[in-house]
Parts: sequence; structure tokens; C-alpha cells
Amino acid sequence: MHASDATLVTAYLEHGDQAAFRTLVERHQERIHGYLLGMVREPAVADDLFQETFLRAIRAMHAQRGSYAHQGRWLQWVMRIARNAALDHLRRQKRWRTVESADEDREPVWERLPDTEPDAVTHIDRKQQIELLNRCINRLPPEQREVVLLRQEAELTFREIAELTDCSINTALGRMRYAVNNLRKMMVVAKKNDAEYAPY
Amino acid sequence: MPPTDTERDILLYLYGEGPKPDLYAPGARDAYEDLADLKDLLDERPASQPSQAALTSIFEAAEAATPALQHRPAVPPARRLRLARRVGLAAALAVCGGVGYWLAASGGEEPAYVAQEEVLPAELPAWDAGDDLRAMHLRAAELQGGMMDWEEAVPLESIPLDEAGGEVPLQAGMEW
Repeated sequence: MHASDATLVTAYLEHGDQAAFRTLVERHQERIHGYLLGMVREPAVADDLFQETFLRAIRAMHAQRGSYAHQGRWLQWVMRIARNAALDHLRRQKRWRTVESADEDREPVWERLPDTEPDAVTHIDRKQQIELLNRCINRLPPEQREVVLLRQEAELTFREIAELTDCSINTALGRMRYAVNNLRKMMVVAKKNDAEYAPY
Repeated sequence: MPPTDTERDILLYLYGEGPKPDLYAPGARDAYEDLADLKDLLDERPASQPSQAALTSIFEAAEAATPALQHRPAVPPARRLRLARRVGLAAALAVCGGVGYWLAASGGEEPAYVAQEEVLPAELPAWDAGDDLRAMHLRAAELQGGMMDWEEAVPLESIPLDEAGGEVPLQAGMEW
């Protein structure tokens, strides 16, 4: 039987059921950790932020029992804590720059690159493609990268992403569209460069 | 070139949040294939796992944050309902069994109020015979009293045959 998040939260808070809490963490750990790792790009830092996220969540759950249980959206609630932890870290590192919506209309550097030879992507190994894709995700503008991570890793819907990041759903979708277009072009360019420098 | 509405619709479709877009629009098929390829690649990225040390620390913190009195396993609502039903059923059976035992134990005896004979006064005043039952009782007592007033006993032979209207047993020495 697949207990809902709300049921597990109630079991933990009302009855001290530790197994319920473990289930809750194990159910969502990949989503939350994947998002954090994508944001900070360092596994050790992602681990620290993951731990910090849950310690904050535990304290908040015991302090304000009714505030989220009735919403029935525990993951979104914890994702907000994780996002705050990640942004706090990035701000301390001065690696987060808020991009205004108007900036998204400006053409990024790789936007001016020629979109040619897309089939070259298929010439390299799949594993190499995924490694290349990860590198390209890391080079995306922060807010585009965040939308990709929230949709792909945390599996939030575009509406949930819009709520979490305090923007409209069209803005969230627009960032995703820019992100995937940029990823495609960056991969083509990167492969072309790799091919040029590849030893014969 | 900025993304188009077609790309927006394709993205929503690929992530299961929108209907299938019109792929007959100019350039829609190529855009769909490009985005679908990239989505496949994104889906193939390995899942990220936290370290065991981080998980252990979280679970310890969760246990420490739980008040000591609440350290007991939760009873799911469905199980609680089943438990209540069983307790109710057991109580009903116990009540039925108790009632049955009481009926069986007291079935051979007359109730105390039935066993007690009605005590009537030896002589009731005439004006107190209004009750039918009492009147019948008094009448029966009178009749019984009258029937017991026998005449003095006489030998059978002394009763004339004509009067008796029956046969007299033969005695020794008598002839027909």
C-alpha cells in the first residue's frame, strides 16, 4: 500500500513513527539531492545542503504542525526549504545572479552561434552525450538552469515551479524553452569543437 | 531566434502537462524531434543520491526531535477501524452469551412471584366476595364442605333392591 506524503507526515508527527519519516525521505531524496547538486555542482556541498534542508524541515514540522499538512504538498514545501538553502549558499559564494525577465529576451552568446549539423550529436557515445549535457546544464544562466533542475530532477510541474520561484507559469515555461534551445545549441557547438580537437 | 508557441506546446506535451500539439504546422515536426531527443537525454541522466552519512544524521535528528512519549508505532486508520469492530463484536457476543446463560439457568424454576400461593383469609365477609375469583373459591369450598357430610354408614344388604336399582352380590346360602 502506497501511503501518501500527508499520511506519512501525520504518522511521524502524531505517533512518532520513525519508519514513516524514513519512507518520506527515501521517496524524495533523489529529487531534492538532484536539484541541490545541479544548483551547487559540488557533491559534498550538495550533501551538506541536503542535510540542512531536512534539519530545517524537521524543526519546522514540529513547530508548525498544521501549516503544511493540510496543503497535502509536502515535497513542494521541502523544495522551498531546499531552494532557500541553495540560494543562501550561492549568494554567500556570490555565484547567484538574479536575471530579470527582460534579460531573457536578450540574445545569449550561444544564441548567436550557428545552429548547424545537429546530427553530429549522434556520432558520440551516449554516456559521453550525458556528460556533455551535464556540463552544458552547468553553463546555463542560473534561472534557466534552475527551471531545468526543478522540472527534470525535482519533477515539479511548471505551475509548481512558477509558485516556488514566484513567477508566472508563462515565465517558467519561457525559461525552460530558452534552456532547452540553448542546451541543444551548446551541445552542437561543444561537439563540433571536440571533433576539431579530437586526435586522429 | 526566440522560442515559438509550438515549442511551448511541445514541451508541455513531452512533460505530460498538455495535449499533443499540431505537428503538421511548418517546422513543428523537426522541433518536436529535437526537443524529444534532448528530453530523452535528460531522462537518462543518473539519479543523484545523498551520502549515507547525511541520511543517518537526518534520521537521528528526526528521532531526537520526537517527544519521548510518542515513541510508539502509528496505528493506521483502517487498522484502528478493524480493531474497533472486533472489540464491538466481542462485546456483543459476551452480552448475548450472558443473557443466554441466565435464561438457561433460570428456565426450570418458576418465578418467585408465581411460586407464592395466594393467601386468602379463612373467612371472608360476605360483602368482600365481589371478586369473581374469590367468589368461585368460596363456592368451591362450600361445595367441598357439603360433599364431605356423609350419612352414617349402613350394610349393603340393608338397602332394598328396588331402591338400590342394582344387583346385590350373592352371599353364601342364598339362592336365586
